Amino acid sequence: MNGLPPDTWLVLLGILMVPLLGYGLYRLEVARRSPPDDAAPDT
Amino acid sequence: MTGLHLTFGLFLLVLLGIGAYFYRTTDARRLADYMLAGRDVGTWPIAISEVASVASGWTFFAWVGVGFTTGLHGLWFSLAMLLVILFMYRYVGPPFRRASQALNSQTVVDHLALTFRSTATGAAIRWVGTVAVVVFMISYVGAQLIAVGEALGTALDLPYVAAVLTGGMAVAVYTTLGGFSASVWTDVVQGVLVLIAALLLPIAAIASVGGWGVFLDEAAAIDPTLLSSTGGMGGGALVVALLAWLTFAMGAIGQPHALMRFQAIRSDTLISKAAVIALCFQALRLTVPLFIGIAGRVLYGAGAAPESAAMLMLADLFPPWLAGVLLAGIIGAILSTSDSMMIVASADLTTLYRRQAGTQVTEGTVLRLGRLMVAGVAALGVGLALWRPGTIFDIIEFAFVGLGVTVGLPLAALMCWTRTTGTAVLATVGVGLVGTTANLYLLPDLFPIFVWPLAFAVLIGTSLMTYEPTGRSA
Repeated sequence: MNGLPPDTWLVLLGILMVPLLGYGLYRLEVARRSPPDDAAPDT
Repeated sequence: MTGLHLTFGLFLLVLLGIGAYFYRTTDARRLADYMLAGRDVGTWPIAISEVASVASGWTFFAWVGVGFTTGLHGLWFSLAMLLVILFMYRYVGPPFRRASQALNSQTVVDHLALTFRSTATGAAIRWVGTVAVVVFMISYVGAQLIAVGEALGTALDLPYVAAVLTGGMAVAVYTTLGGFSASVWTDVVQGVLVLIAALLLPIAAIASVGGWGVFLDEAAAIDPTLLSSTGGMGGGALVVALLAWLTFAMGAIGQPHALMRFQAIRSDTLISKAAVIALCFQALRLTVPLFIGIAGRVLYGAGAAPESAAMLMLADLFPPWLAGVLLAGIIGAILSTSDSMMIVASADLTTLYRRQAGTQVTEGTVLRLGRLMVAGVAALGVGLALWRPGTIFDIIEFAFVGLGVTVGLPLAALMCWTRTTGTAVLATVGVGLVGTTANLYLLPDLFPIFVWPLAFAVLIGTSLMTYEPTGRSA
């Protein structure tokens, strides 16, 4: 049986990585926006 | 009348119902409400409708045709386009949302013009930009209606003219009635159907060939390069081919109907989450059709029409009611793009009129004019589809790259580079319009490779020459 050539798998992997990169950047942004748990309210 | 006709007819009724609902319930007394749904659309509808609005006849016709003829070489385009989309959501979307609210801009061209409104440059940008958007959008709508004609002709045995008129009238009616709200919510329905079609079509096609292993064996037996991302090329030929895909994909930087979603989202803080949803959906719809195309080549042989492979499978591999649902998904991808384009072209034309007419014109007049323009763009799109000057792929490539250069590049520069001047924006819009149109005739196969460097050089060179450090330069 033939498989997909390695070069094609590499491009497919690259395509998969872009949404994952987007998700990672989104999580980073959420973490940056929300204050740390141990931050005392400034009252 | 079969189950396929009934299911598809039901789909058209749902779309018209959504248009009628928003006509009756939306408080669209102002053009901003009609065009941008009051800038109050949530994350999921924005993301799904954004993808559906760019999915177009490209997904199940042109891209299937590329898979059919050249195989998986097109994956490079998919990868490049995903990276451009990620860039847009990260670096252009959030500042554009904030600036759009501050300026109360309705479209990208409106935004470019308002940024430089204190000088004559702003008015010139509006005129040239509107001409560019209208030229490219009518071409784009025409390509979509050609795809509708192909789809309904193959699946429902409708004559081409009747099919184009049916699709054109349906999209014109629900968009004219419901405006941007109807466009977004019909796009969501259509987006879900696109997703179902993108999942079921390749599964059924590969299963009918005999499974994944047999599919790969038979594809390799027809042409081993079908499964390779290099397309069997090497050296200089491969570099030129990759550059052609990359410069084509860069058009994603400036699709006004997609950029409008950034203006309409409830808050710029939601754009990052919308990016994740949109990227997942885009990755699927930019990859799967290539496999559908190869399966079509295996099933029907090289003699079949490449861009109609998905439609042939639809008729052959599914029971009529399910074929009707999938046909709705495929037509949905087309109509969702058309409605968004009609809204953009109408908004630019209407805004141009309002800025020229000044304060004498009422909101009611502008709103009626906006609806009339939607119908006008639809009519011109129908005319182009009946004339049929090229393949779906050719026309979409022309409009996609043209919009990217004339609208997307200046906007991205404005958001990311503070030295961008009004003169540079105007020069880029003009050079993009002329360069894209001229090169289409001079270098039809490779025109994106030459248009982008030209536009970049004009933008950067003019900005550096005309920039003055004291505030935004005209």
